[in-house]
Amino acid sequence: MATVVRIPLQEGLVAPWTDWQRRCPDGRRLLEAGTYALTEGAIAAGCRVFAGYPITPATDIAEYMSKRLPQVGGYYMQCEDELAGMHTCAGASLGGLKAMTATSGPGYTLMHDAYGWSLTNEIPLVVVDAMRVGPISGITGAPGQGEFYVARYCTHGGNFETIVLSPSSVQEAFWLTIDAFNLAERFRTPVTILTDQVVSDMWEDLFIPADYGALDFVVPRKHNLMMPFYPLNSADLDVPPNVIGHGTGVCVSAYTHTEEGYDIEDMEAQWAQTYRLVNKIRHHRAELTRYEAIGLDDAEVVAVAYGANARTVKTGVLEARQRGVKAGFIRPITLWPFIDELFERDCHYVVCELNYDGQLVREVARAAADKNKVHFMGKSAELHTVAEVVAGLDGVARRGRVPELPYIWTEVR
Amino acid sequence: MNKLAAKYLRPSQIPTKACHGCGIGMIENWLLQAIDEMGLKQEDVIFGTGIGCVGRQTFATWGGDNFGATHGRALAVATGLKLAQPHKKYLIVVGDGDAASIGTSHLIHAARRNLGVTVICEDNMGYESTGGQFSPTTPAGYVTNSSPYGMVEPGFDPCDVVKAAGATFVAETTATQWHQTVKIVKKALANDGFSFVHVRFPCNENFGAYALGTRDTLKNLEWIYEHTQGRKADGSETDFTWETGIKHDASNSRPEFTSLLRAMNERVQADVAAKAAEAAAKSAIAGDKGRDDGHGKH
Amino acid sequence: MALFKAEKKAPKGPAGKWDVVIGEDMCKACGFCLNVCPTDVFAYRTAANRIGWFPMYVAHEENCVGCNLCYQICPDFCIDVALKPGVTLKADVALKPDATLTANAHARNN
Repeated sequence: MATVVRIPLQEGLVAPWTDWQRRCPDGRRLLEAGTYALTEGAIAAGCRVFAGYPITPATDIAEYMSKRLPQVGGYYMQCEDELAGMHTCAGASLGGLKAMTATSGPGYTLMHDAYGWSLTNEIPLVVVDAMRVGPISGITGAPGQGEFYVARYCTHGGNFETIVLSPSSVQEAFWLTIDAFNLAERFRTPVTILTDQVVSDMWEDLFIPADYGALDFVVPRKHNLMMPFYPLNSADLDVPPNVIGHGTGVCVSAYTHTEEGYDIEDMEAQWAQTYRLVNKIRHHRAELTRYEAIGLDDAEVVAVAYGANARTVKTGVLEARQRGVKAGFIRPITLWPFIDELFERDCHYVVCELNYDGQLVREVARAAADKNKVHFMGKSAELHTVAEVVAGLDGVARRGRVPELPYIWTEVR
Repeated sequence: MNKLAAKYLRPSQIPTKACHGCGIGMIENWLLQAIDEMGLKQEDVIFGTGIGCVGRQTFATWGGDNFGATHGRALAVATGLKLAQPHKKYLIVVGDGDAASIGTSHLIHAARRNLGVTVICEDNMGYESTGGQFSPTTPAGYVTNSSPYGMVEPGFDPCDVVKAAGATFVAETTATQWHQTVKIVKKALANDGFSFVHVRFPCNENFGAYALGTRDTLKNLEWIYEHTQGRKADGSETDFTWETGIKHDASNSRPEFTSLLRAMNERVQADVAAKAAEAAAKSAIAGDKGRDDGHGKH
Repeated sequence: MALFKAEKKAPKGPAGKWDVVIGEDMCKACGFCLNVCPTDVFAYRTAANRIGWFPMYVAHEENCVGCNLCYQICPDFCIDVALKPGVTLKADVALKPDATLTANAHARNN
């Protein structure tokens, strides 16, 4: 049954959008926020429905969508709550329209039921979770990374895999949103984009193509009009999504189901459906590989970060190199399925996360060649400063541990 | 199976999982009559349901496209579907749990928006699928699985809730009013707006056992009949009577929700086109490349 | 007046003009059709069907007056009632589809 997929480790940015800008030279350069980029990326990918509920720091996406969608013949729905928001997105996608919602932690929590429904029925969707800092609702206007595990285990029942991506710049947010829609179509699944308050709200240089209709890298919506509606015991990619409204007779529900979609309660069906939901992602991890890596040829201590704080951490790595530390940098862009291969080199890792309870660090420790060489620099409410990162890398390189720094959490139990 | 079932239902799902004596199948038979008498084909109707007895015993029985949403959220899914497929008829068949308890928020907002769907709230006055706990429509004082000393909470009628929220067609019948139900469902389907039909039906297995003290199918349906007529077989009055009939008919008097969105889109796109034409004309006069609104040719 | 009739009336009017078909394999023996029938059409089988119930069967089709109460009350889509082929009804005993249960029953038996 097992199909072993190995991801080779490369230097530089590994992502499908490295040549997308070259493929659409006509465009404009703007100074815009991450939320603007996420919205335009969705429109460029063909999104025609947004259904959600305003919540800081994702509210601007709702507002932009309310303005842009009618211009392109789409629909903005402001639902009564996030529960309704994601269910309405699922319904719209099931009816044939690409759909997206955007929220923050408290709303993402409310979407778990709908997420599960969409996962098990293989409905393409994009969900943006612009994380704030915890505990729980924490500080409305500060960056955090508390939903790393929640995004993977975003619904009940187990027996599924999830796809989670995270951009770290405004430009990357634009391309990555298109990529998220593409993956949603190809894998027939909801895809979570984890951003944070900084990536969502900061303003940066943004190139957007002039003609969205001419983007040859956008995967268009197709309809599956024939049985099997759910190809059980199959890990096939690029199966078109099912559609309601074309008289196919498809059944859609959250129960373990047959190929036709009605509920069935035996063990064989449980295996068959799980096989599909898990392996369609696991067997195609190569299609899901996105990361950035620097200095890995000779790095002795590698800083690991994603999202907003990856910016300052990367600068810290380059600064440390200047000071003679053999530092490297890994920025996972695909957070789930987790790319274990990124951490197979036997060296030290310093995981810089915007939380104190330690989440990404646990996965790195699990995947690393030697978990005793995995160090934690947790911070909350502010990004890691370059000085802190340099001190951490330097400390590990010279004395094998991160030094005591104010408001940097180093324990993981 | 009967001719309408053969025409519209999914043979592999009949007989249904419903208990013997359950009213769900009866009501579904009347829905099929309404659909047939309106000349609708299987592909014209999208059947949506939720969780609980009404959810699970109807899910996948419809031979055409159908969905069983998460508990209480059938209307939220239907809202999205109606955006994408506005010209289908939506039959959202949900129980008192789905409509009057966990999903009441979505019920209210779908009614407020006048979403063009027909909700059939099949009410067995309790959470019968999980064994017979009380629900917001259980009659006051009745003993159920989770109200062993009698139901303390006051109940409410979801018809009142949707009418206050703006539904354009609201009606109530019971499981002994087949002709009325067929007629009323036809009117409900003919309303291009939010229609709510509340049908009370017997559950002999759980409600019957705990509240009425009997699982006898005939006695349970008689109980429904008595409370519809307001009189028992011996002539005495029942403890309460359901008010049945059409409670509110403002069919087709307000625009259907998604039609409002489509109308808005037409206005917005006409405006965008007009502005683009104006800008192009200006730049032709000025002789330079001109500036658009920053969004290019989107 | 009760919903169910323990005492059956003798068939009058359009009796004997109806085909009554019951899908015995789908019957869950709720008893509604037998008990709502104003005349005496149905009876229980003495052997179980494949879903484990002793189903109804059409014991006396000739007693059927075409009131369709059984068709309307069956919760399992089992029953079809139709005029026998080539048979027509007299105008004064035509079905009133909009009437209530009570009115129809009166129309049948008076």
